[in-house]
Amino acid sequence: MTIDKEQLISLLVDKTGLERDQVENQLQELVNRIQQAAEEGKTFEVEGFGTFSMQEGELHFEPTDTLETEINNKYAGMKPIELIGAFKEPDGEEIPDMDKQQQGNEDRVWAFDQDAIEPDETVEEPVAETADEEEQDDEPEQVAAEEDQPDEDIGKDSEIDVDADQPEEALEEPQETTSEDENKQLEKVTASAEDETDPIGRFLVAALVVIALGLAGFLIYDSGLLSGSKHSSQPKTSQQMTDVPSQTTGDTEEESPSKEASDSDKQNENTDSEPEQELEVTKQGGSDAQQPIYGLRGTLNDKANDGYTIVVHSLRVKDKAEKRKQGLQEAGFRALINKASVDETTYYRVGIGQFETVTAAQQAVSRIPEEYRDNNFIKRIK
Amino acid sequence: MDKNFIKAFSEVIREEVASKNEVQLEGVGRFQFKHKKQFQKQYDNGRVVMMPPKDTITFVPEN
Repeated sequence: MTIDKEQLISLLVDKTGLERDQVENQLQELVNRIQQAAEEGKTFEVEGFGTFSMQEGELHFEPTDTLETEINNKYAGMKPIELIGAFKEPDGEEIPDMDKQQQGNEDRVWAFDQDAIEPDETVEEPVAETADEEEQDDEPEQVAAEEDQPDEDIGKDSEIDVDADQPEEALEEPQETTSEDENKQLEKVTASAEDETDPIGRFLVAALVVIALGLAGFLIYDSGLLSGSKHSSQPKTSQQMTDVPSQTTGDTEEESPSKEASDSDKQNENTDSEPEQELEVTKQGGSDAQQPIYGLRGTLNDKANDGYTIVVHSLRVKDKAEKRKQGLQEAGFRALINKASVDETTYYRVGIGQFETVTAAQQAVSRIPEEYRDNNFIKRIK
Repeated sequence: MDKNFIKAFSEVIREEVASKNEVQLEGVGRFQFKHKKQFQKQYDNGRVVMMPPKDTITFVPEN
């Protein structure tokens, strides 16, 4: 429906209550003013309605916000709704996916934060260090400066000394802080490395220590530093073992090993003059030309009497010792009797074998009859 | 020019246009009612929105 001039005037008459002529005049005046403004290229504003202006040779009307809203009252307050998902513009351009876009933004944010945090840490720590170092550099100078004063004013003021002490204390604190910072840094830096290398490194160190101790012990043993103590220690251990045979054999006439051990050296000296031993040695010394000077088996050799023997019996009765000796000789061993006196008691020790060194005698222990292997001691023949 | 007349003029045109009537103003032009449907719109930042429908007043100049 179109409202023409007549209908418009009728509506205006009803609205204003003016006379029809007045309304016609008023309306004509309004149209004239709009036309005049348009011809002059000026804008003509109707209050509360809109603005008429000439644009590109045509009269253009721009309604006011009030008029626009009143016309659009049905849809007033509606706002653009954001669409999620893939929609295509009428021109066919593909619309980027909002989800992917957000993820991309998040990744960028994360990467940005990471990049932003790491430089901060690396920057802050050196700054703190340098600051502490600067404090260190500054304060010693103060200390030196203040310490110079007391030197000049010695005896005048004791307060200056106190002042000089305080900066020193203050000086220590930053050093501690810096050391702590450095430790923290070292911990941070080597935290990952220590976790990986610690077990292996400690194991290697322990292995090296064990190997070094083993080598040192072997060298000491091999160089003969312990040879002096071997002579004294070896008989002791073997003499302690003689406790067992004396008890197991039930031979009450055997000497007590403890007494024997203490006097073993004296016994050696005493046995030098024993005629019985010499007789036995001379009896059997002639037939040993082909056998080695020292040995476990065979016949006795006088030249070997400067060596060592394995004592397997120690008896107070000479006859029993002779029987044991003969039994051993029949078994093919070099058997000899060594007479010793301990606490005014004479013992007849039956030994087997003649050995040049204690070590050789010890090695031969494994070849003597099994009953003696755990019950014997090594002794110098003479 | 009376203010009351200007105010009455604005109200009359607004009411007639709001009721989807075309108002003919001789020597100037016509005021028309026009409905715009909803439509999709993509901003420059990639966001896609659905614009709401809209009722507008349009002016068609006379020659």
